[in-house]
Amino acid sequence: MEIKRLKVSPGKCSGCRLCLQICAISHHHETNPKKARLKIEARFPQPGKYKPRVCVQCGKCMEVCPEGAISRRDDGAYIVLTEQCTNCGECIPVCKPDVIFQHRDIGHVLICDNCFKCVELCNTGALTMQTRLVKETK
Amino acid sequence: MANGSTSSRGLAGTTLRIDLTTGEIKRSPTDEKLMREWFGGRGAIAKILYDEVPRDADPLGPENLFIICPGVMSGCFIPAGSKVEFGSVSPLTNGHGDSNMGGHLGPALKFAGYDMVILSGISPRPVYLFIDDDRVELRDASQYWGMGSLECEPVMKQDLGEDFEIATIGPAGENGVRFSCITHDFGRQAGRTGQGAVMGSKKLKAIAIRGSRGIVVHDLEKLTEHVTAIMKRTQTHPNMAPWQKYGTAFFIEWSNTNAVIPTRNFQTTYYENIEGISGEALVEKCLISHKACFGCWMNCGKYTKAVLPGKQTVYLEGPEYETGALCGSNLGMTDINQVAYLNWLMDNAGMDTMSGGGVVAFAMECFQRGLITADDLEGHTLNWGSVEDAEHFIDMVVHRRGTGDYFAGGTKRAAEKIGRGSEKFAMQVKGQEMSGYDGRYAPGMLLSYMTCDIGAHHNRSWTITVDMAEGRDTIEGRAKVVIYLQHIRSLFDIWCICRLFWGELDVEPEEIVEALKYITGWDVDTAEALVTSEKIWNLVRCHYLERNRANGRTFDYPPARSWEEKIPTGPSAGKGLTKDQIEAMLDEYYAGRGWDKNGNPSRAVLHDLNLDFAADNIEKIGLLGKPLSNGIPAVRGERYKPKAF
Repeated sequence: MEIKRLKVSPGKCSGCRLCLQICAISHHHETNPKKARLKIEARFPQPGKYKPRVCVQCGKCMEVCPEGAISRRDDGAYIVLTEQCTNCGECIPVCKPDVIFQHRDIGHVLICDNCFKCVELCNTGALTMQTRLVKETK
Repeated sequence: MANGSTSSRGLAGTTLRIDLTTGEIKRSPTDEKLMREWFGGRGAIAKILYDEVPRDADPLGPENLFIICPGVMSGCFIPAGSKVEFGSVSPLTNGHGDSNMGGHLGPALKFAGYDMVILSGISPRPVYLFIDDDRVELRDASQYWGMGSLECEPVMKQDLGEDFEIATIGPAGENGVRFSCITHDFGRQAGRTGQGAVMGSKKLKAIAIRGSRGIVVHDLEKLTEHVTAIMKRTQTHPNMAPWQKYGTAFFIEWSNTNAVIPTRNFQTTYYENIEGISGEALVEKCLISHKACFGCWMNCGKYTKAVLPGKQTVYLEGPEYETGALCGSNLGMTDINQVAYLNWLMDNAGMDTMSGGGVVAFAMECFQRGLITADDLEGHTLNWGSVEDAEHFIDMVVHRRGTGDYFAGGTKRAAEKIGRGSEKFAMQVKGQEMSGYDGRYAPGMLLSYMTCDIGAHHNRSWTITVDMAEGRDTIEGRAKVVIYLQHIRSLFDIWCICRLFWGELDVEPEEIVEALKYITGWDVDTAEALVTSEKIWNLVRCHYLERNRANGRTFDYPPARSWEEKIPTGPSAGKGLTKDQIEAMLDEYYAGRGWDKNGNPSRAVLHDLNLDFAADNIEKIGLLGKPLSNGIPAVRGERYKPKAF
């Protein structure tokens, strides 16, 4: 199957957080980086670089979800079924890039759904969309 | 009371008033009328300082206020909506002072639910302001007191959490050095007017903010569509690539080619070693990564390291243009690593690199002329191009040891102590040091320094390209451009967004006002915005007159070097201004503003701007401008869009 995912080019991110803004606006209709589904790790004063952390579509969250509240879409994205998610947070520690979020206003976890709005606004090329073919898994 | 209780869009809803003497913290709904009339940021700060700080209050005393205000647009989805404005009566100029910085602090304050923090009094012990959404506390800062600004930030992040935004002062601010700055995000500074010294006087070491709320705007869909279109359009602007690569350091060579770069304390305008300190050198030798403020797609920040033999390797943001000029050619430095090291030194000490560069340059010229000697410098020399000498001198200033104490008040106060004609080359206006352009063959730029409301500063009116375009040998008409720029450029300090996407990427003011409408729902247009900016400018002028009690004209002169000395070397050799030309520019400027020949605002213009209360106040002290024979100018400041390249 052909899946899409975010690709990070190390060293290109300038830490502007436009990706966080547009992510929250797209999904929650407000400017609030704390409701974004990716994050920027600022590594200062040394080495002095930003590292975007994004969903790598590994599927670990779906594997551990006790409620079956995460499903996989055809394009590879793991989608939170918001009605079923109890916000228990068991998926959070298994997420290697640490990009599953909770916010006190929202009753479910927040996971990237591959909308790629962040890519549209990234002006440094730090975030791009990657398409690749993978074997079907059951 | 819960935060967010205002109905206005774009605002967070709550204002904090904190008495540092008693530790009392009060919350109140943000004054929507104030924000609408004065647009927040620099505007709201100007009105509150004017209304509340007694005219005889010591800027470093308990009656001065220290105000933090990110304005109505900061934190919203708007190009570079990153700024936060700080304001207080300036210990450097003894007038209204404000200074802003980018980074992420202003948006964080809004996301925590606050539009403004007004601090008064003096804390009995060092504290820092801790804000984590509804939790607002003054916390003991004794463990941080004495730390360098750049050293303190990572320690506080480690203590509180990486997602706190931190602003700190350094030892300079703690010790009352009058040109101390506030530092944030490992290298963003609110540098001008000594806001760091005010924080230090209040024993406020730092501000730490984390916010998790969103900002509700009037029409998010239209705002998003509008701003996204601006961003996509400007991604291919020809200025984008050089701006992203070099940032403001691009202008170092440009300024030298055009012979305006201050060299050895503004003795000349052309620097023979420019290649060593250029933007190209910065990128080649020091650059680690490109760094942006919140919501900015231009990433003009350059995160760097400086490596010098015998010195620790240091990490910093910069040097940007102003630091590159004022701590580079102006100190006779020949290598970008030297400039970067001095940049770090001043950042960590918590002093403005612009005034700091000006002060060190002034001291170096005093040494060159024998006005200060090794006896005044604890046995050290102070030679052009010597990092060692500069480092020792800066340490004397930061800790106010011996002669260093003279210079801790800035060049004007130092010249008063040193005397012997040194005031002629103390490159300041109203006590604040000049920016990194020599105005002797750029008359609009000199007039900008002379008339800037916070003391010499380029940012309120950057006319250097206008001087090039309109002819550097003429002065006629320059005042109108300066007035226009003072109004439009100040708008960005009022709205707390960066001006560079306007100045460099041709985003029109009307487009920004359209975004403002989508954010706030206000019925506002560009004309009203410009009038509001003019109103703030006049209020700040009245404030200055009321505190300093003499005709405004007496404060608007540059140092005598500006007319007594022609430029000695380089492409502009032999060029310069006469005193008569400087007087003529002032006359034209005052006439253009509707002020009288003494530089005092007339009642007619103050009335036109709804500032009758200020007219009454300056009339009481005999400083109301005389009535104007031809009435007030209908349009004060002609429309002029300068080109940056």
